[in-house]
Amino acid sequence: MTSGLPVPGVAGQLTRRRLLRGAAAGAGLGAVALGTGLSACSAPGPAPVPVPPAAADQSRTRKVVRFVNWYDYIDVTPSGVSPTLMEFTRQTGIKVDYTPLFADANQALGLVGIALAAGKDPGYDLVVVADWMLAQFIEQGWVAELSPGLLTNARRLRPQFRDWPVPDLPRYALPWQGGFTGIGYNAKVTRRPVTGMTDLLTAPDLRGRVSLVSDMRDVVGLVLLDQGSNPADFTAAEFGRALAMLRRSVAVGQIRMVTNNYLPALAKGTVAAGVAWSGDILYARQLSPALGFTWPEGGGMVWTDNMMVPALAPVRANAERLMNFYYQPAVAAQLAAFNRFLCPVLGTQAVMGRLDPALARERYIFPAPALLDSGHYFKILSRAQIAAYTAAFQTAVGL
Amino acid sequence: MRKPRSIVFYAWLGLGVDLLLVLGVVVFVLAGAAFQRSAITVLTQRAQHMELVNLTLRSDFLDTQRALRGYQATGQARFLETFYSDQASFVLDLARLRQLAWPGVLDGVTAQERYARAAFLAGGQAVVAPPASRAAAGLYERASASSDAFVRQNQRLQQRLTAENTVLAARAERTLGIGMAGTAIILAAGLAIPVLAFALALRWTSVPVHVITATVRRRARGDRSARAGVTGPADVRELAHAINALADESDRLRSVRAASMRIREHLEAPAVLTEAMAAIEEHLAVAFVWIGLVSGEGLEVADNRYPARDQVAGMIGNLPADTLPWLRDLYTSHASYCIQDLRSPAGEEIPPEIRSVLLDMGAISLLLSPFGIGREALGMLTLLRTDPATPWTGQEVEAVESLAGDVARGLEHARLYEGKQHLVAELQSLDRAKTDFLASVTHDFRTPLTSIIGYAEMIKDGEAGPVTPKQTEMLGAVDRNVERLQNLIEDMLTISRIELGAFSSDLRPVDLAALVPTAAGAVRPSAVDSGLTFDVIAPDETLAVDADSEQIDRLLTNLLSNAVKYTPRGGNVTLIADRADGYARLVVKDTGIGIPREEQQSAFGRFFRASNAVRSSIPGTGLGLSIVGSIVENHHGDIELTSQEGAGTTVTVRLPLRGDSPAGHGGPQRSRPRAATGGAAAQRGEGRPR
Repeated sequence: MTSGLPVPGVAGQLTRRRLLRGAAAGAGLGAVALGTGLSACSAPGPAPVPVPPAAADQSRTRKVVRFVNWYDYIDVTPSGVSPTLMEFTRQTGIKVDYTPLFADANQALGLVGIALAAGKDPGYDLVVVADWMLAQFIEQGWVAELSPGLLTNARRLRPQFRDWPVPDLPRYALPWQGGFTGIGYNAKVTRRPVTGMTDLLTAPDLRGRVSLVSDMRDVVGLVLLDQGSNPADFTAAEFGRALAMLRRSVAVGQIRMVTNNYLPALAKGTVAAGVAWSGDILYARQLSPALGFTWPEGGGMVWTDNMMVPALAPVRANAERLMNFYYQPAVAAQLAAFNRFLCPVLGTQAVMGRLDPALARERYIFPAPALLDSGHYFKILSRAQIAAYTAAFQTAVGL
Repeated sequence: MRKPRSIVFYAWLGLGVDLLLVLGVVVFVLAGAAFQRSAITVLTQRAQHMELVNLTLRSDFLDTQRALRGYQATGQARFLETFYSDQASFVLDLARLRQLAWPGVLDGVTAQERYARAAFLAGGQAVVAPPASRAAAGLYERASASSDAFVRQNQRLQQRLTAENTVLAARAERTLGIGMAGTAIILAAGLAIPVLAFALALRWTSVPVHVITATVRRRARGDRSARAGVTGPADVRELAHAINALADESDRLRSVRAASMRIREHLEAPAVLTEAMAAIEEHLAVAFVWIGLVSGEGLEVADNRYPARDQVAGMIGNLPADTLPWLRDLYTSHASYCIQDLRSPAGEEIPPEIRSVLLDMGAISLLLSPFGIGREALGMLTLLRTDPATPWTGQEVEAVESLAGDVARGLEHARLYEGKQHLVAELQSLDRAKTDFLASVTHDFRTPLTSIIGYAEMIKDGEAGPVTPKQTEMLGAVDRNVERLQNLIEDMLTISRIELGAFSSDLRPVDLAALVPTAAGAVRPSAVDSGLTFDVIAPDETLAVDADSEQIDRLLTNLLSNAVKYTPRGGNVTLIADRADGYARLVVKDTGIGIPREEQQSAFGRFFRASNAVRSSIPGTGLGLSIVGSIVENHHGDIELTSQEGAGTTVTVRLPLRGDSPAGHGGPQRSRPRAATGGAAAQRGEGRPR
């Protein structure tokens, strides 16, 4: 049984997840160094706060799993129920207490991590968090290791995600959905594809009609790639050069707005092009077919949201069964057809071919390995670096 | 009684205790420091830090709430970003706060989580609710209420932390004081106990060591009874035992050497052998001992006082023919023959018949030590032991060899002494025969001499007819020679009596001064005839002595006659009688030819003639001074002669005065005649021949 699911199709709600997701991605000002597996690149942070040992798993006696996710991030029917969750309950007899709660990556800490920080039951047995936030949970010791015996479908995880951004990712989590950060444009306005960041930030025909997301990592990462630098390994000088490009663009009036709520303006044509997330464009294209998504010539950014079982969760096995359920290609196809983000489950594309051949061919839902390999992530920053880089970025773009 | 341990054990024990104490001090100090540090850590790194984090937590929270209000009021995304990002900061600070918390304040931490989470949840739901809707307003209201509750809870925790800090500060100060006092006490104990233990150990060990040292020094000074007290640690006790054992062994071997000395004191062979066997029996713990003596081309048992006499005698009787050459070779090589175990293969060197006898006697070890004089082997000592636990030691072998050497010397001394005794007996027999002959001849001289004197007086009285002057002169010569012959006979008779022990003095109270004029008057004519001056110095007082008047008169006559006879014409003879140091003194001094210095020691011997007198053909018998010496000896006086050849002689006789006991002088002790060798006069070497 599901509850509290918003009804899709409402424009305000339709884009909510996508409009707000990126805000979290660049807003980790309070975060410390990220990622257990990325510790080689991370600055030292405070020692993890150990949580008390988990009590014995109660999954045999408590046929329920408490599932918290981003808003609008699961398939729902107009009546407000999730077909996949209902199917899971039907198959296993395990009730799913689903809560669409997150509008920002940091909320995973504020609403789940806060209980773990106090050594208490987090209130949820399955949590979907952004990739860099997952690393932070692991860093704090707040993630329960998964049981390979229950996750028989984990073998279907796309190999590119097995160690990215966390080494040995299946040990802790499985991606729920992924996505690309690139350039969205309204072809009715531009009359041409926007090919890259230099084009976006300097083309005279786009002057005054470009939007940027407020996430420093996405925007600066794309500029660094455009300038031939590696977002995972750049110098302060390279960062400065990227900001200089942004400042020049702002100075000449190229940038119209800096917001994550760019879809309405883009669909209306007020904004001709801007930094965008692939799922947003693919979803909005159902209503505005002129919208297009460009994978920049210099390469783009790739991200994932991941299912994890928090430490101290009382019904870990139930949560793992639900994770395993979503790694069935048929279930994953249902989810991808709704979300239109990158599907991490192998074999789904074939199932999708039977359901919706057009979606099955969508390269940003079922990307070729070469496309994924051209995706990048932003390097791990220390707390001081995050504060300094974000402040510099916000100053540069006029936030 | 507990078994004593060694110094090393106690040294290690003391070191161990000391180390434990030091370790205890270190542990205590470290524990105290850790405890203090813990208290200070709680105070500074936890309690105070917790206050700070709690304040930060409140700041984080209020930042989120201000951002929420900002978003509510403006709808600007940057407020929303702050709302979310500060939640992350808040959570991480909450985790930090919980890490710092202790059980007493943990509830205050978790209570904040409850209100903050409610505020975040309501705020998060409010921002996604339709703007300006009732639902949104309700959510904002709920967030605000939770926020207020959080702030109150945070303040309560802050107050509690402040109070805890005060308590912890007081506790840290108290702990510091206790720690310092405890450290000082234990440190003092840790220093005092080893010092005390060291002093006790030093006293416990040094006193026995000093006793041992004193014992060794006593022994070095000759105290053979000194033995070390057995006290103190085991190794000191062992040292005392060892020194006592060494002393015992030294005494035992010293006893053997003393026995060796006693052996040489004996002048008879049986006594030498008996002494040797007794010494071996007493000091060398033997079961059997016998001494074999070389006799001709064989050996004979010198002595055997043991039950195995028959076996030994039989064994000696059955010795192989080459035994004596073997013994001589052994003696020549200055070695002893020792077998520690007759049952071992080493015992097979002995002829089987001898070995079987020895084994039948129960003998286990054998020591055979030859002895002899020069190249001549005289015999051997044979010692047997029946206890396998007491083999012969090197010192024992040396002691037996020394003993054997002394046996040889003792036997040689006995042999030489026996020969000397024979010679002395023969000489004494000859001397007695000579004396008897002299007495007999002298006595026989008197009878014809009396007849000569009588007939000469008859002729001089004219009974044989008128005497012509020429005949009178010739009869005078006869009288003088008769008198000389009488004096000679008298002297020889006196000497004979002296040698026969029959010369005695009839001591009676006599005034020595009264005897002087008589003797001087008898000599004065001959002194005058010889052209000499003769002075007599006699006291007016009485010199009462116990004396034989005739012998004193003879003493003076002999001394004055010698002075006159050996003083050339023109010389001087002086007789002095006086009292000195409780003695009556008679001094006869002349300016004669004296006695050579090297001959003065023999001046009182029989028939002594000084060489210069003989060369000058001055007649004399050499008996006068010898008789004078005997007379002085009989009178318990003494006589002293000083002389210088060519210058004169002085003879001083001292006789004890009656009723006067001269200090430091005993008559008998001073009765021996002597020639002075000290003093100025003696150095001049005056004297005269007799």
